[in-house]
Order: sequence, then C-alpha cells, then structure tokens
Amino acid sequence: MSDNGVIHSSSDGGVAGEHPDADDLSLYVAPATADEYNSIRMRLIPVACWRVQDVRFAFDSSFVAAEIATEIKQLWALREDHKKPDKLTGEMLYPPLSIFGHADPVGTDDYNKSLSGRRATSIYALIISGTDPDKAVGLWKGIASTEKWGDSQRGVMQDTTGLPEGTSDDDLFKAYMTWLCTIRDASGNQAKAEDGTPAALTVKTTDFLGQGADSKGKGDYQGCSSFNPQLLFSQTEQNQYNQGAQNNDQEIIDERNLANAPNRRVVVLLFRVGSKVVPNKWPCPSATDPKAGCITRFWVGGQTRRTKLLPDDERKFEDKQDTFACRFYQRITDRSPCEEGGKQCSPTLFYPEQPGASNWVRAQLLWVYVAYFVGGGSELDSVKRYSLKEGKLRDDAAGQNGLLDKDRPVWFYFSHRDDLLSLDQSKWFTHDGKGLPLLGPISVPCDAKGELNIDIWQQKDWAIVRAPRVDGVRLDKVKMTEWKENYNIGQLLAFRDQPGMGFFPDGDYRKKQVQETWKGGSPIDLIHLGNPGNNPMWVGTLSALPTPKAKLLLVHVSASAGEIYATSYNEIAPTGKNQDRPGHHQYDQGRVSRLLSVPRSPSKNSDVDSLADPPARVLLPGDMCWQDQGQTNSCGAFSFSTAMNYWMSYTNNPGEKDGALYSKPGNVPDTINGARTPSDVVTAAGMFKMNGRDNTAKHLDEAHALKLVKLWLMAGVPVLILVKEEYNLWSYHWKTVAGYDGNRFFMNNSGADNEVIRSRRTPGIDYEHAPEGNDVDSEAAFWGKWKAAGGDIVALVTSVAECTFIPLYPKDPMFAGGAAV
Amino acid sequence: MAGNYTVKQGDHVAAIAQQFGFSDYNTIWNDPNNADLKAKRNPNVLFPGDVIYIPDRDQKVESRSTDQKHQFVKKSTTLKLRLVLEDAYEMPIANAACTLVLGSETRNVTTDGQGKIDEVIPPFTQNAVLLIKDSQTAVVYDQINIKIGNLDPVEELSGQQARLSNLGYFWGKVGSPADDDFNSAVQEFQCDNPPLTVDGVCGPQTQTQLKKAHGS
Repeated sequence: MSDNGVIHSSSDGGVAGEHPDADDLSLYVAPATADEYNSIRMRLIPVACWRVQDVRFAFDSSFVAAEIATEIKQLWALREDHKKPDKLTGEMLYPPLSIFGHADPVGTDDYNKSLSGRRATSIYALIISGTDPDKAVGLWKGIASTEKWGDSQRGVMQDTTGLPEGTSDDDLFKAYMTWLCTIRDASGNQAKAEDGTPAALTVKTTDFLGQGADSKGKGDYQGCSSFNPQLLFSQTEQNQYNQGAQNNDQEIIDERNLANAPNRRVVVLLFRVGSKVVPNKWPCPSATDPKAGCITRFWVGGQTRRTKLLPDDERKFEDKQDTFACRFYQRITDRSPCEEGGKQCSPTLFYPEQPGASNWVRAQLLWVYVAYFVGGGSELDSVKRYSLKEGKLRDDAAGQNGLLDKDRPVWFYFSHRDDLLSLDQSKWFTHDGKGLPLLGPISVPCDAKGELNIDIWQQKDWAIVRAPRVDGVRLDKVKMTEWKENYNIGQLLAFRDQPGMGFFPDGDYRKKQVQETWKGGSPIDLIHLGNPGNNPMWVGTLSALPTPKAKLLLVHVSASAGEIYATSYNEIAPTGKNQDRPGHHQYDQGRVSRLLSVPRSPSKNSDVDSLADPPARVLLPGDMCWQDQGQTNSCGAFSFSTAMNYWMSYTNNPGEKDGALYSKPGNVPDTINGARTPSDVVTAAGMFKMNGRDNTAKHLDEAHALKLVKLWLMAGVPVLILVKEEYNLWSYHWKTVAGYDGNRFFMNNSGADNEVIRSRRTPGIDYEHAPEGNDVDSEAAFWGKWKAAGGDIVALVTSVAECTFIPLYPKDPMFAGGAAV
Repeated sequence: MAGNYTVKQGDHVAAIAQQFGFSDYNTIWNDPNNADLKAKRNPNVLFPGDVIYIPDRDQKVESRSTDQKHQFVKKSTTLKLRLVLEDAYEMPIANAACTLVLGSETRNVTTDGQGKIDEVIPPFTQNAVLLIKDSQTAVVYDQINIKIGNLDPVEELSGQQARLSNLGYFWGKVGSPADDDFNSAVQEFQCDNPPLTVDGVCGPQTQTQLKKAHGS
C-alpha cells in the first residue's frame, strides 16, 4: 500500500478511492508508580472515500442527474469491499459514512454553507432511500421547496423512471431514487449481490458515523460552504472573472463557473468498521446550522488559506495542501485520493526508439488506451483513449492533457487504431491474456520528474519493417485500408549468429527455417532492424485486430532525424504512393537500367552476352507473402499480388492469402476469370507506380534466356513468368520467380506445383494447397515449362508469346534507395 | 559504585533502579544528588540525555535476636501499567475484555467502567501489546503496540507528539520534526480544551492541559 492511497475506480462523475492503510497504532506510555495514567483514545480513521463531482448536480442546485447511477455503483462496490463481520455476532458491518458537501467560492459563505449542506443532504437522502424512503423523500421535498425544483427536474425524473407527468412528488422522488440506487451490470440489467439477491445500494440511517442519532444529521452529513477550495484562481483570472460578472458577461461567468467545478463536490468518507461519534461532540455543525461551528475549526490563518490569491498563478490544494480553511476536514481527508491533490498527473510518456534500444523517445502519434480495473482486479473500471503528442496524453475532445491516477495499477494499450473503444470493452480490455495484450500493471508515480517510461515493445503485437516515410502522410491524415482478421503475423527474434533482432513473420511459407533452407541453410533475417542512427525504420502495430477490420500502422523511427512519423502502410498502394524499404529488397537501379537496354524481345543470344554473368545464387529477400488463388483461374492477379507484396510488404493479408488489393476487381484491370494477359499486368503495375515490362525470350536459347531472368532477379526484381504445366486443362499459368540456386528456380505459385497437382488434383479444377506456396523446378524443367507456354491458349490469354516474362520493378525514383526520407 | 547515568529512550527510574540492583527506585530518586532532576521530571517520564545519579548501595543492618524466626519484608515499589481506553469521542471503552501481552506473558484483563486497565508489571517490561476484544465501541485497531517508558516529558516536542498521538490528535510519527500535522493536532487539542488559545503553539498552558488530559 502506498503512502497516499489509491483510486479504486473513477468515472466522469466521481472517484472512489482507498485511503492509505493507517500504520499500526504504536503508542508511547509512561509506567505508573503513583496515580498517573495514559489516556488512549481511538482515532477516527477513514478507510475509503467517494467523491461525486459537480457534473452530477445541476448548477447551483442539489438535484442529482440520472448519470449519478454510475457513481452510486462505485459507492456500493466500495462498501462491499470494506464490510467486515462483527467479531462476536458475525453480523456484517459496513464502514460508517459521513458526507461533506462543498461549494465554490462564488457567493457568500452563508449561502454556500446552505447550498453545500443541501447537496450533502441530497446525497444522504439518496443513499438512505432504499431503507428509509419516507425520510429520504421528506428531505428531498425540503430541498425541492428551497431550491424551487420545477419542470426540468421533474422532467428528468419522469424520463428516467417512465412515470407520467402529474405523478406526485412523493412517488416520483421515491421512484427516481430507487432507480438511481439500483446497481446494474454492464448490459444495464440489475446486478446480483453476493447472496444472489438483486443488488441495490441500501444504506441505513444507522450506517453513518453519528448513527442517525441527531435529528439534523450531525456526524452524518454536513456542508462545508466554500471553506475548503481545491482551486483558487490567480489574481489576474479573478479580476477578469470579477469584471465579467460586473458586466453581466454570461460567457465569462460561464467560464468562471466551469473553472470552479473542482471546488463543487460532495465527498463521502467511509470510516473503519465500528467507528462512531457522539453527535454533540462532532466538530461539524449540521447541514442546516450556521457557519460559526465551522469557523472554530479553522486553521490559525484559515481565512488566508482559503482566500489568498497569487498574482499570476493558481493555488491548488494538491500543490501545498494549504487551501483548506478547516483543519478538522483536512485531518480526516489527509492523504485521501478523493481530496488530496497529486492523485492524478499528466506524465510524459517515453519509449525505447526500437526494441532493445537504450535511447528513449517521446511517445508520438499513436493512440494509447488507458485501462483501469476495479481495485486492480479483473473487473474493468474504465478505458480511456488518448492521442499521444510529444509524449503527452491528449484528450482531444476536452482539449486538455489526459490525467492518470497516481500509484494506481494501470494497463496501457498502444495502437494506431482509434476505434477500439467501440469494442466490447470488457471482453477485449482484460489483463488475463484473453483480450488485447495490454501492458501492465504499471504504476504512475506522478513525481516531479513527470516522466513515464514504458517499453511498448513488450506489447506483443508489433509488426516491424523498414521503410521510409510516405511523403507527408501522417497518422491523423490517413484513412487506413483494412486488414483481415489475423494479426499474428510474426515475432521479433534474436538473430542466430549476429547481434540484434529480426522480425520473423509467421505463417507456413514464411517460417524462418524454410527461408533459411532456401538460402542454402544460412540464416537470414527477413527484415533487418538495428542501426537506428543511420537507417530509418518503420514499425507498426497490427494492433489487436479483434474485428475483421484490422489495420496496420507503421511508425517511422529515426534517431538521427529525431522524429517519429506514422502512417498506414496499407494506404500506400491504392494511392500509388510507393516507397523504398532499404534493406528489405535488393533493388539495384543501375542493373535494371542495363537490363532495360536489352531489347524487349532480344532477337539473338549476343544481345545478352554483353551482360555480366549472374551470381550462382539469388533469393529475393523479404516477405513475398504468398497468395492463394484457391479454386479460381486468377493466377495472373495472384501472381501480380505476390510480386507486389515483395515491394510493399503486408499489402495483402498473409493469413487470408486472398490477393487482397491486387486481385480485387476495380483496383486493377480485370479480365474474364481474373487471369491476366501480359498487357493487363503491365497496366496494373502502372497503377501502382510500378513498371511491368512485357518481355519474351523466345529467340534465346536456354542458357541465355535463363541468364536474363537471373539478371533481373540479381537486380532485386521479381519476375512474372507464364509457364505451361503438364496438364491440358488450365495449364497455362502465371508464377513469380523469386530466386535460383544454380540448379533450380524458386517460384511463388499461387496455384499448385506439378507434384501437388498430380497427387491432389480431382477431376476438374483444383489449384489448392501448394506446399507452402513455393514451387521448385530444376532449371531444365523450368525452361521446358516456360518454353512451352503460348500457342494454343491465345483464345484465353491474348498477346501471349513463348517465354513471356514480366519483371515488375518500380517506376518511382524513390526506389533508387536512400532518398526517400 | 556511585556515579552518573545518562538516560536512554525507554528508561524510567524503576527500570534504572532494577538495572543497578536497587529494589526501591526511591533510593535513587530521593538521593539529594537528583534533587534537580526530581524537581523537573516525573520518575516515569524521563528524557534521553537526562543525567541521573546512582548512589552506592548501602548495606542495611537489622538487629534481631537469635533462635527466633523473623520475617523481613523487602521494601520495593510496584510498577504499573495504567491505561484509560476511550473511543474517538471520549466515551470510555468500558468493561471490555482485553488481552495484554507483556513480553512472553499473556494476561486476560477487563477494563473497568471507566475504561481503565491497571496492571502490575515487571520493571523491565518495555513492550506490550493490547488487544481489545470489544465490538460495542469503536475499537478500530485490532492491536495496539505499547512502548512502556518511552513517553518523553511534555516540555519536549516528542513528549507532546506522543501525548497528542495517544489522545488521537496526532497521526504523524512521534519524534518527527514539527510539521503541519503536529500544528493541526495542537490546534485541534486547543480547540477542544477551552480556554486555551488556539494558536498551534504548544506552550506551557497547553502543555499543562495536555499532561492533564493524558494523565501523565
């Protein structure tokens, strides 16, 4: 337990808090040899508190809004948490209550004493209404008469209870109070108490400190006038408000009243079970008594405490605990999370620039969801969403910094998504591992330093790739494209034989060991991290994805730039905004230029001879994200998708493998059955600022034709090829060449390879289930299939010539590398 | 061997007497060398740093005839722990069953109608624990730890804090520097004890009243 108590639950209209545990009572006494003795007097110790904010009351009124039902539930839970059985009888005893109303300093002390007393009385009546409705109704009628409650108050009560206009006050007040004191679960049904009975707040008049012994409620409820302000304006502000009031400037008056809201509150203290007071010894005057009784309890200098204004600065109780005039009240609310300041703060969030990094940067351009659980347990108390700007939590709607509760266990969830509050919150905001991977519990110290370091990488759902910033597109500007439901796309793992971490996507095709096997057994990192000082990097959340509307956010991290940018990666392709990802692909513009100097359809082998020989082995790095065409004929669209995924990772959903963007009608030109002619592929590439070059190798021999394909791969460019499989039906097929090793060609195959077709093919059409989406052919077999393509399929796919191949490479100079950021 | 002894926290004259082999602490307390201290202090409420003179032990010679049985009564003083238990608003915790743990010894005691406990204790007892088994009054502590002999004189800040703490006014740590908590406690006490001036200063009049209210 901290020294300063903790907030148990909080809402817009209230705070319920736990006071710090009192130290064991340790007393110093004198032994006696004569008639001396030691008086040991029990202390009055509050154990918890409940605060109703001003917002639950109508202005200048004691009428409580229907929304107070939320806070009533807090009080109900707080009493249940603190009840104890009587040691002798076993009877369940609740912590005795005392209610303190507070008004703001506008108006006279006498007026405010009455108003604060009425508000305390109003709350008192409400919470005893379940056990003594007649008394409760009587008290409210008294207040209603004093405050002249009219149609608006009765209208609220009628709307809430469903009672018709003309219902008597007795019935209406009673029904309204009953409604407010009914405890409801998240779905609005009446909750069940521990014993299975319908839950309602039922406080007896004997459940208060004064035990209802005094007819005016001494010890049970009282008003503190404006003697204990939380906030005092600066002299400058006060002058402006005074001037405004003098001029009857309603706007300024409203502003003043809003600024004064923290001062208007009702605080209920819960004392240790067994506590009670003799009303006539209780220091506070009753709610209806004059203020004199209060003033005798003032601090020496109490008047100054509550009225002194600083020229330019506000004075707050939380700063120096010196704004309350009433010494008695300050004693019993000492360290109370409902009163004492410093219980909330607005820290600056920092996180490591990248996983494992030692430099911490201000959190930026993400949404952060802040979840509290009742008493730190499993029941969700609240989730709030803030944007992060320069490390500050921003409540944009309120136009102010978000506040965190001091020393109260809090869980965070960082995301690019702004719509997670619309989820079934109690299902997704859990800390048992069944919902979002929340980060926590974290304790916010609210110290003078005001910093909160959170290793957001511990949140296990980041996708990390490298890429520069998209030109000028920032988080708040991007309308993100959707992902399908699958966010378990990979994980960060340490490299096997080098320092640092790599992001290794999950999924059949993407398994690290498979990739390593492809590269001749040497380990590879699919996406490099590290080198933060020089190479910009994108990181992103795949964030939760509890709905089919998952999205990917990427955050650009660059230590040297000192900036963090965020955008949606998914947005890139459809808008044609391509970008480079240094280290992810091997694009070599110089080589591509040389290849472009070779004719589209080289007429003789010597056209290729001038080019340097390709290396023995090439495997395009990164994540090709195999796409599965399923039982369709859309091999062209899916092969195109696969190649695009090389350039723009994750633009397709790896889990769904459905071709996503590039196989969607409307995104790219479509033909019958979704298959593509070479010109379709070229046109589609152009829509994404890519170049597709329709080549043929039909005049070349095997060695020269293969050399040409290998050189395109060496330049870091995937190549779509049209091949003829061994079957008659649907046997002309687009694949994407991704590498070779001197003996074999490696291809991404959205359909199936020979072996699979042979084993699985049922009569008709079935391209499903290629093993891990890869296809491996010996060079000879590859050449054979390639060479055979063409001829009799022109009816389906026009413009096909033998040995068609389409390298897909970027048009945008950004891909020259390095210049994009 | 006669000499001066400097009082430590927790000392009281009866314990000091026991330590130096005196059965009656008055032998020390009434020694003329301690006249100044005696004028200033209660023998049970010493202050660390107080210097007390320990006289030589006299041999006591008593003449009696032989061949007879004689009864000698060793003169010693009885040390007591006397507490008055009240709830937060000065209502006695009367007739309440309590358990008093004195070192290894556990006693069942009952408060009287005024909330009093009056128990003879061995002079060396420094720590006690009191458990009040009463649910009729506002006993909010399961257990009260008591340090016997640690009450400092009322003239001292720590002595004022300890008394205000026992009386429920001061919730801070006894022995801490005077702060707002202490100031508040003094003001509150003064407020409850007219005609004391409420000024937060624990001066002679407040001290006198505090000593009276506390009972020592």
